[in-house]
Amino acid sequence: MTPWGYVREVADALGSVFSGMGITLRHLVSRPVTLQYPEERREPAPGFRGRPVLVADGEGKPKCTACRACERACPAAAIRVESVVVEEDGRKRLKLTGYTVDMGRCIICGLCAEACPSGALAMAPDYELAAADRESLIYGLDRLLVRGTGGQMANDSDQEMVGREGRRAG
Amino acid sequence: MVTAIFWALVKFALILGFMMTNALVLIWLERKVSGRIQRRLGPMRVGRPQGWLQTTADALKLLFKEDLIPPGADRAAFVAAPMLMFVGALLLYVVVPFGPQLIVRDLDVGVLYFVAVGGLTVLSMLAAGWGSNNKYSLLGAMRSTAQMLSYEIPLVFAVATVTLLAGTMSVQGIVAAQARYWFVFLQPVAFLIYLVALLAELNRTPFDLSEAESELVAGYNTEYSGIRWSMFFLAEYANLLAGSAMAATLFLGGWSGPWLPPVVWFVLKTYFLVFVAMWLRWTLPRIRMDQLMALGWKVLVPISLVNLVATGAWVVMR
Repeated sequence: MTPWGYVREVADALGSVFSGMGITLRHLVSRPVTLQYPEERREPAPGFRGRPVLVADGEGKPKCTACRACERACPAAAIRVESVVVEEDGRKRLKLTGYTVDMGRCIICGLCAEACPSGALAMAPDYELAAADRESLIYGLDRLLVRGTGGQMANDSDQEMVGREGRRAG
Repeated sequence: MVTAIFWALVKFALILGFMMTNALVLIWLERKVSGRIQRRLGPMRVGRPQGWLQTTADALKLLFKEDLIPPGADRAAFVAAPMLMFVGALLLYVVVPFGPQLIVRDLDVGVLYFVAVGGLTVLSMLAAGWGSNNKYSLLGAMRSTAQMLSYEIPLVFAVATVTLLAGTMSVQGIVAAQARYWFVFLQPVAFLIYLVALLAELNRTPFDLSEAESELVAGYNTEYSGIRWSMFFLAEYANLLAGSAMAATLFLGGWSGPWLPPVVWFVLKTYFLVFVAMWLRWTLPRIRMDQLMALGWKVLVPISLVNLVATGAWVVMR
């Protein structure tokens, strides 16, 4: 190596150390991106897919028609729909008597909400779903039914499905 | 006689207390700095504000851990190594000048003493690596021995340059010699070489090959746990503080400075250098063994030697 090349190499090495230190110094003085979780929580992004919920109609009853499309669509077999046949105005139809989602099995894939023909299922933004025992992970109608979706949910039934990007906010 | 022993004990206790509290603070600071550089918060839970009690809690936990000595270990070397490291770190503080009067003993050969006692670390690492009966420990110890022997030379050259300028090896004499200009302005090259060699002496990233966790588990302290491990850990940070304190003394005018009391100036300068060491650690990746040797022998030794000769010529001609 020529003497001049040697000097250049040493100077280059020193220069790169200083530019690297500039980058770390910028990070040092910038705001941390992590949160103190239980005290601070991040607001889920619009369209965030959390647990599935049943959407209520204006009277607070589930919109569900008990067609079982969700049950068939569920890859984890987490959904069970219970229904009875009733006669109304001379026509036979299904009436929902029970709906359970086993959140221990649910993989939050959203296929149930996509399969639902009557817009009765949506994915809520809730993500803190841990429980101390398996029984309390089985969600019945009481915990699944929500009134008013506020437009927050993924696959929101009140809105036209036009793909991820086209979804209306709020 | 009795009063002499009494005062020696008081000084010993003060130095030990200073070293321990600062080591704990430095470990906490390192975790905070590393966190912020990675845009994390670092420890936040133990002690408000900013988790300042975290290292105290860690030290207490380590005290209560089981004392393990691996089978086949050389017991004497294994037990002696962490104590030697700790005592070596403690001995460094004898010649650290905290203020005009605040020094345990202003030895005439202060700087030489500092460098010589600093060399004890190699011995304790080698004892730890050999005594552990573990190939990773031994490899780490071998590496750090080669590294520290190589980097001792440029370190001593850089220190010798300052000694030439000051005309004395006493640390107080060196501080007094910087009354007009700090030596960092007269000797910027020696300052840089001292910092680089110091990082290598302390086995800190980018020169932490002796504990390269991606290759050697933890290097020389692989088999250590509990209180013995924490002695290594505390001594490492005490060495960092002592090395930075000496750098502040040799190049940044030591305790001298306007308005504030000397001790405050001294601690500020020392902590600034400690911060630079942490900053570098979280900036640079670890270098390879051959790069380490090349940097030591092909860059630092020749440059520091030329610098020493040129300074000597200048001092003679002046």
